[in-house]
Amino acid sequence: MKLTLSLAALVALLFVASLLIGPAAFGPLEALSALLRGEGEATVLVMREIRLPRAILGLLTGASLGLAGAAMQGWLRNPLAEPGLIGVSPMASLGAVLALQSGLVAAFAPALPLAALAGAALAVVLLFVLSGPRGGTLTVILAGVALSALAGALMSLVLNLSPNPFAASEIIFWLMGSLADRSMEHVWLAAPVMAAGALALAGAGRGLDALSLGEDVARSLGISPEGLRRRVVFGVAALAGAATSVAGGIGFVGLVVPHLLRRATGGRPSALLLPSALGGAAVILAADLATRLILPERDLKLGVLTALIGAPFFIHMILSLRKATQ
Amino acid sequence: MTALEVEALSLTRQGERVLSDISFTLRPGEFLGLLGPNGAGKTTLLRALQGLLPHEGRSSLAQISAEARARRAAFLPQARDLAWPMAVRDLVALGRLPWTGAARSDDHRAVAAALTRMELEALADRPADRLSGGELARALIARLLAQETPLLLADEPGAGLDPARQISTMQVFADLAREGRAVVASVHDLGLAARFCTRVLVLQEGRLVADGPPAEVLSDSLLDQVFGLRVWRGEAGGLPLLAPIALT
Amino acid sequence: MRHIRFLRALALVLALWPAASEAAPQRVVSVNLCTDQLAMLLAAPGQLVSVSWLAADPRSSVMPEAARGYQLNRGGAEEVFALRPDLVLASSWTRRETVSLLRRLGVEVVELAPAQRLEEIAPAIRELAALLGRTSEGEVMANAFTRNLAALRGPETGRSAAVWEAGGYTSGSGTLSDEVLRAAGLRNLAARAGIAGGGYLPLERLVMERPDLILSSAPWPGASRAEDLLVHPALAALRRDTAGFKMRDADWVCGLPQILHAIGDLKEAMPQ
Repeated sequence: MKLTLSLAALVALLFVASLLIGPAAFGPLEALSALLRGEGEATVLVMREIRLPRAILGLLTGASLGLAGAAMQGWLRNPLAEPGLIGVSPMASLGAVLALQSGLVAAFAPALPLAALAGAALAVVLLFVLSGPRGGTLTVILAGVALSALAGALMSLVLNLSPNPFAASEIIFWLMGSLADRSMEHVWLAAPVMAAGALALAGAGRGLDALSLGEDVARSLGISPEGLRRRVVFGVAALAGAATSVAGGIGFVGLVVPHLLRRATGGRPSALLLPSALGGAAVILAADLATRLILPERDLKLGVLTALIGAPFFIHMILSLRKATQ
Repeated sequence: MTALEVEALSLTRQGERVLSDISFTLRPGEFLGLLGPNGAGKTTLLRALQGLLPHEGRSSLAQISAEARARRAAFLPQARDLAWPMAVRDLVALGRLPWTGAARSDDHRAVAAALTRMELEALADRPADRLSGGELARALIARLLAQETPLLLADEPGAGLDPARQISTMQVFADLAREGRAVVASVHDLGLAARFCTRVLVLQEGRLVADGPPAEVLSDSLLDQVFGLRVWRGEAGGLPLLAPIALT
Repeated sequence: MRHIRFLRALALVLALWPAASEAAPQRVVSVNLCTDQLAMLLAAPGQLVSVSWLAADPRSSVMPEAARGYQLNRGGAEEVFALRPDLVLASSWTRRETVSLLRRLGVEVVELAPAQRLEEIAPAIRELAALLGRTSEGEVMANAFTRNLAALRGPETGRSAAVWEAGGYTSGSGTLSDEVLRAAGLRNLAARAGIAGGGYLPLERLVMERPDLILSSAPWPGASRAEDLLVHPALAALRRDTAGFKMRDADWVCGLPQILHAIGDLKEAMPQ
């Protein structure tokens, strides 16, 4: 409880900082009065249309990835699991890449996140079809690996065949993940999908707890593993798919954040869900701030930064796991 | 009033008959020991009668809804499986999951009672990854107890426990049966089964070969036929003692 | 494709007709290297407020000195909006989110497709001049360009050339580079090899076809494996009896009047 509150306070702090820091020069008081009271024409637009959606999306994508990661690890009973395992993020990326390459986005800007969401939805359908009605976690992961490989190959194919160096670099930059210059339109597109995913996972806490004793015991505790699987796969897909659709590829948050918070939350998967969402939000808000503060002139990509921070953590986790099993 | 009815239960796995035509009825107050050599079908029977495996025949437990079953029977599998390093108290409290809607105080009482029965009060706040194998095994049994169901199903509850803890664990199950609950436990230690169980079922190659009080069932000829064992028999404090001596 | 382009140009002209008679934009911000340079050439003093940072980089820009006289931007929506522009010049490859966000904020953004052919340059000059309310200046520059281009166009020499950049990347038919080669009287090997747009020409093929001239760009800072190909032994051997030509990237990237320099340099570099 104390942990949740302090994480919430940290997220609030970073959210406000995200609103106050940007290239347009005006003071924090001016910024807040523009945001809250609508004073100062240009400042209001900067605050409400540029910085607010960016901060909201940072909060939402971070929370989505953290929550999805916690659910995924709980469901697979594995601390190295992450939302990307079920192949939804790569399929969402593929949708976005196709929208970029086909020129759909040039004609209709929201086509990008919409196509990414469509890719994620297709991934969920394929996951359920491939893994069958009673498929266990292993078949779901294998289906996810197959989807990831397919999506990765198709993306490479698009890049490979792209006759235009501008188009290719546009795709590559999009894949690196960023929250720069997103608008409220992106918020309205992603937020409902994320809310549906969060709702599905919020109801999964009991099942995840029971599953920590194994599938047989979970059944004997009245949990239906099939129902739990539907909830988790749908929830994780909605969260990770929506996050990818507005922010591109952002890795490691869903992997590292739940892992870091697990012990502090007492190891119960249900107790980890909310803190992990808050932790994810804090990480993404902080990382997005860092892209604006470190090398702002090079347009550092958010996904690059999270991977830079995440990968050493991951290596540390592997090493400590190895030590624990020796 | 019966605790469990099993009728003509059969199970085939990849064309092989694993359980054949098993029938028995369990009443409250009985502590049923499931005996048999490795591969006789003890674990399969314990899982099948809860509906965890597709089977033919009828089990009263497999026929009710998952929610109702969770309040009727608790299950301890053979594998001492815990994915996350939660505190013993939280682990034991998982047994309360089927009882959503029950009073908080009820949950607290049940968890505390289970911890006391398994003598785990001192370890209540210790994370599971800092327990010994035996301590974890006891914590998982306490989880089973906290579910407070009229029927308990345990697959080799004594595995991994030292001799004293094996005895105290069998004592706990015997006490629960005396308090009016029904217990089914697969047991390898014939001596413990003979001392604590009120009734034993002997399985051999998926068939039920004997069913009755241990004193009647565990005859020299049956032990020879099923286990290929010769035993030494005695008595201590009014309870039968039985120890394997040699292969026949 | 050409129909669409024509219709788009028509729509632009129609849309601009009344605008031209209205006041010309007073605070123009460009966020794309190509529009940067064209705007610097065409804008009235004080009309252009800011250009992108790439315009000040001598590797990519033909007028880095001039660009330093403007505020340099990184193309972010907030940064651009804070400059209070009444017109933003972008490329059709500018980040989609930025363009649509600026439009949401009520900023007029014009996206100009980068020129892919030499004959598109004069119309592009006129188009941008019209946007800036500098129609007559644009007319003069466009006419001068057309004239100079016609004067520079050499006869077919029968010699072949290939663009061979890092990673084996080449420019086939339908690219500006292809047009420049042909204007210099050279045959583009990549176009003959059936490559349309940008693509990859296998080193083997290059060695077998033995072009008379190999065009490559000067290496960029930072090592890259793709650039290793440029010093491949087979290529080095080929180079011993083939003329090489170092492209100045800045001249070739955008459809600017300066592309004529590229044609002139190329004709000079031709082996006699």
